[in-house]
Amino acid sequence: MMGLLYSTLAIFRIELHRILSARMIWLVGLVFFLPSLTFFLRPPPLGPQQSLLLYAFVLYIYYQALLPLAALLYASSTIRDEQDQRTLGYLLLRPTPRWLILVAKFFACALVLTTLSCASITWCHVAYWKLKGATLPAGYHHLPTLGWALALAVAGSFSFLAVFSVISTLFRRALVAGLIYAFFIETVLTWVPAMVARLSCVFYLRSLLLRPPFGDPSLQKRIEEGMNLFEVPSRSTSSISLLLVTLVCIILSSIIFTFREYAAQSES
Amino acid sequence: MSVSIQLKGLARWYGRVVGLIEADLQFASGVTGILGPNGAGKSTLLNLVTGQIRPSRGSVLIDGQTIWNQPALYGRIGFCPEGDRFYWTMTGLQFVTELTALHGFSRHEAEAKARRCLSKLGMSDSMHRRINTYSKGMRQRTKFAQALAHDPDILVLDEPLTGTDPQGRRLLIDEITTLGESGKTVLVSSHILHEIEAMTDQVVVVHQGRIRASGSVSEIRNLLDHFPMQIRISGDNLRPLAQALLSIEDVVSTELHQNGRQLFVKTRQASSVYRVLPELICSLQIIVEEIEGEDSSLEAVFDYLMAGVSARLRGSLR
Repeated sequence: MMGLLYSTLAIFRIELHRILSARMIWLVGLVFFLPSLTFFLRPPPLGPQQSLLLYAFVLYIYYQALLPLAALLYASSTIRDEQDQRTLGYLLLRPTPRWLILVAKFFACALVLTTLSCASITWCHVAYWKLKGATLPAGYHHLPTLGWALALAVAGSFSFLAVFSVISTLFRRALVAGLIYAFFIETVLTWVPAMVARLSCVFYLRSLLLRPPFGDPSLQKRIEEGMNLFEVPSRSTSSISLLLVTLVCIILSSIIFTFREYAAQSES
Repeated sequence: MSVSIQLKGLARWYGRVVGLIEADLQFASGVTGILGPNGAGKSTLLNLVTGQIRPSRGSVLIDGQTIWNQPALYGRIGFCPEGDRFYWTMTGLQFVTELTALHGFSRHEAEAKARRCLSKLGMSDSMHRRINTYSKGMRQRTKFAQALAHDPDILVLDEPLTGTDPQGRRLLIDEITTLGESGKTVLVSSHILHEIEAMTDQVVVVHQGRIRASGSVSEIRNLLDHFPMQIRISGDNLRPLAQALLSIEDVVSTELHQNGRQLFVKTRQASSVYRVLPELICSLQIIVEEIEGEDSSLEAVFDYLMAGVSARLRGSLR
């Protein structure tokens, strides 16, 4: 049992080293801090409600575009880069179950992605509400507002990483497959009426963003109507859906990784 | 602990390309050389033995257990792959430590094993440097160390001597020989006969995806003695060297190219040329940049071996 723990930690460390020593982390970090420029380029709206709307819009850019993109970059590189550098054989030829290799890699990616996204969202919060002096509407406080945004970033990071892990274990060109998925499922479908939108993670993240467990319900209602949103699921439905997507996708990618033959592909 | 590896009707295709076919063999303790030209199927054989790829047909049994997708058995194997496969920004020590920890050792234990192993292979001074600053020979030794650090029963080494300097080569050959003598099952692949010969007398010849022969090196060496090998020498004004080499009994011909800057020597006994070359170069005071056994002629050697004496080999060596 301890042996398994040690080997899992070793894979975690290797993956972390791989991610942190790659140039991609600088690129992702830079892109993650770009939305905060919005607040510096234009003054905050006069009213607290408009200020909240602008803040929510910027957060939505994170969940709709930046998180999936960063998750795709990391999830697709976990296997592909090891195959390209032909180091995957080292991991597969160790007495560690293959599913555990993937899970350890997943958590290393999740750690990096959540750290980056939480840092940039915190910076956004400080920049907008403190440095630029925007005012929060009644019923909203800094700590819960920031806490909710961070919780969604963590939930989004895990669910997107899990979804793209499945894609990366299935396809050699995971980046292309992931981009197609991100465009059609996580962008186009989220605005399609009826049940179709429920196939995307962004739909649930958006629902959670619109319905925090604090604040003014009537304001939330007005925003939903203003955005022409069809049916917004409850917080618990959205949270459980994201959790299930994450778990199912991790299990699925672990199964695929266990039975696929990666070494042969890299040799041939 | 002695371990037996058994190949039963083993075959592997990559789509319509044959990687290996009809392999029935047993490897016992000691060093066994896997000899064959590039693309012969050596790496496929070693990947099958280490359970990295699934057989299309047949099976590989380690002490009676199928190897494919059996992580528990992987702990008994140390694998040194061909080519450069590294986490380049790690130090040598970090690389070997992490890969040893993957065998279930704590980081502390793994590091102690890694240090011991790297020191034994002459890497004491360089183990703290990043791998991307290593020479080819140092990288080979680092790869070898990660295969060895967890003290496996089976060692599978794919072209471990490629790119090593003479000192590193000697070190690795001695280490491999010692491991074989200590009762470990060691499989070493190479496309150079005298490399294998320095480590073991037991050899398996692979060519065009088939196991063509298995037996002692000396018998194959005898067959090769009648086949002219080609050596390429690059340097300045090699004409006197070409003339001097013609006086050696085993040299069939010498050819000068590029205004005497490149010399091709055909010989029935490559070793006899290699033996006298340093002395000749010194006495003639010639500047030599490179000496290389031509790979293309090696392919021809195997074709020669397989075409003409295949039946004889099977009869005498199997």
